[in-house]
Amino acid sequence: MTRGALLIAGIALGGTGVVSWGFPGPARSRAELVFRGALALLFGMGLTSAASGALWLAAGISWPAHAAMTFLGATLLATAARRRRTSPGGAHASLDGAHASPDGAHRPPGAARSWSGAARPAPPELSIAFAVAATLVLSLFVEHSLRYPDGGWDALAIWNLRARSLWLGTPATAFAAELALDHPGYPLLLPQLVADGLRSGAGAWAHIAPAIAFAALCVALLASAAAMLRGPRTGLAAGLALLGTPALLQLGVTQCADVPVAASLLAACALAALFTDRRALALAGCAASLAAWTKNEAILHGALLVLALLWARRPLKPFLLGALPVVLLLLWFKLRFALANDLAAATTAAGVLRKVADVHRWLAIAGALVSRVWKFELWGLAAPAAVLLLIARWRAADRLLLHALLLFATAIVAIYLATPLNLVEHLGSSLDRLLFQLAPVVLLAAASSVTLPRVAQRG
Amino acid sequence: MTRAAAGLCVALAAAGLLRDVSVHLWKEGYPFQSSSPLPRFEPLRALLPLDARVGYLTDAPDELKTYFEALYSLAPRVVLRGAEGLTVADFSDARKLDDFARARGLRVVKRFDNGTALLSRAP
Repeated sequence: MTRGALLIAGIALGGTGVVSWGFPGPARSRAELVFRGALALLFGMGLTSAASGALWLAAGISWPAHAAMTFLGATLLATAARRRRTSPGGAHASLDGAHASPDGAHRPPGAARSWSGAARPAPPELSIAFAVAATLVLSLFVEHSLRYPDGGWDALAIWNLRARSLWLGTPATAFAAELALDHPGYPLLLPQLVADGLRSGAGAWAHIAPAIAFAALCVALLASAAAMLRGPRTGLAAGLALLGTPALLQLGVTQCADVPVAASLLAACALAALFTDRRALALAGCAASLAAWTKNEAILHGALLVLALLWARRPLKPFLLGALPVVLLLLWFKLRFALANDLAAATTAAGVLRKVADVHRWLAIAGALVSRVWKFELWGLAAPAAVLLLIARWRAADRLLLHALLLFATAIVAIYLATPLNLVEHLGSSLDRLLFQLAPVVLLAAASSVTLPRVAQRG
Repeated sequence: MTRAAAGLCVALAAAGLLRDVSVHLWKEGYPFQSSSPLPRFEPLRALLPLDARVGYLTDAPDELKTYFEALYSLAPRVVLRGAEGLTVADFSDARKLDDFARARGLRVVKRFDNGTALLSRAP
């Protein structure tokens, strides 16, 4: 088996195996099938990259991690298949604790599988519009990626640069103190995934393919989660809103790490909001840890998701256990390999207090937030409309999603209040990307606030 | 969600999609050209060992941008801004290279057609 085939097998089987462990019963709707498939790709890429990164940091070699993920995935799939054969009734038992969707999305065992179980299917015009939009965005993505195969500035200076160092170098050269300019403290999910692709001989597609996959995951996870919550119309409309958000394409084609963070955060929030059983919560923790293994600020988001779960009086243990393996890897990386975070190193308690007390900083941040949210070239019209919908109907929105978003937004304000960099420059260079990390969760929360027609609620 | 609301969603999304089309199919222009810094540094990659530590000099006005292109293209080699024992030169005007090297006490070890060269400290 070639290295490329082993990498693909690790991603495909590893991800599918983990999801089959998390959801032992059959999917109750087509939307849930799509959701599970998207999760499988996310966990496959993320966990294979994490395992591969751990082994490379420890021993300078990565392909055995792909073999291990393949084996783990095959074992989990075989276990799930055996369990279904031996206990047909028990296959549904773990789903008993899941949220009952207001649209009656979850089918009873043995019932025919519809898109969401809702009585009103999506009109064909909406399905066609979604398909046309997805095809258009994918075509433009590929076209731009062929023009600029190495991505944008961040990809060239940080993510793909690190990937080439991981591919051809050693831990000593990849984290050389002399190269502090390229943020050696950033976690490795994306660079390791790209490095594995480069080792497999994929060339430029080693960084183009993950960029396309993570952008597609944002859309697939959002549309399927919204369909499970509020029926297929809302699912397609939410997916269409994200496809019609120019930032998805702009940030996606630059191959920056904010799109993978957005996909992982969305998966974590959707799993926590849609399901109450412990295995799904463990998967939510795992997804949050993958976001943290992608970018530093997502460590904060993961911690805030824990607070949101506490707020919602949900059990924390499964979430924390699910996050534990990748969090341990992150700790080891931070303590052993990563140089001091440039922002943290320049931050002092006295300086932070002084900045928090500075009303001009609050005004500058508020002004930037308000003006950026309506920036047409980034958000188009659909995303701002979703924000307005969420503000207008916040009482009807899913509580956990709403609380998580409030906490994430507070964190963004706190990051800029405390930044040791020039505030205006820091806002200008990063706010759009930080907002995009939350955009799919905002759209899901807005979708959750949609009221279904009474007939659909009765199923 | 009603049919009218779904129609509104399509219209709102269409605005962003049209923006994407205008940027990528119109403003970026044609003919289609692939742009990567990797081919420019190909000869230097063949010359320098993977654990090399080299300096970087350029005549480009946007020195930081071209430095990162060199860093990216030559990774995992450690590339530092300024002159080192071995230095990568990246010049848009190759005629300037000899004067530039001489003025800094460097000599040209190997020169390539694309404006890049390898310099070392003169003995």
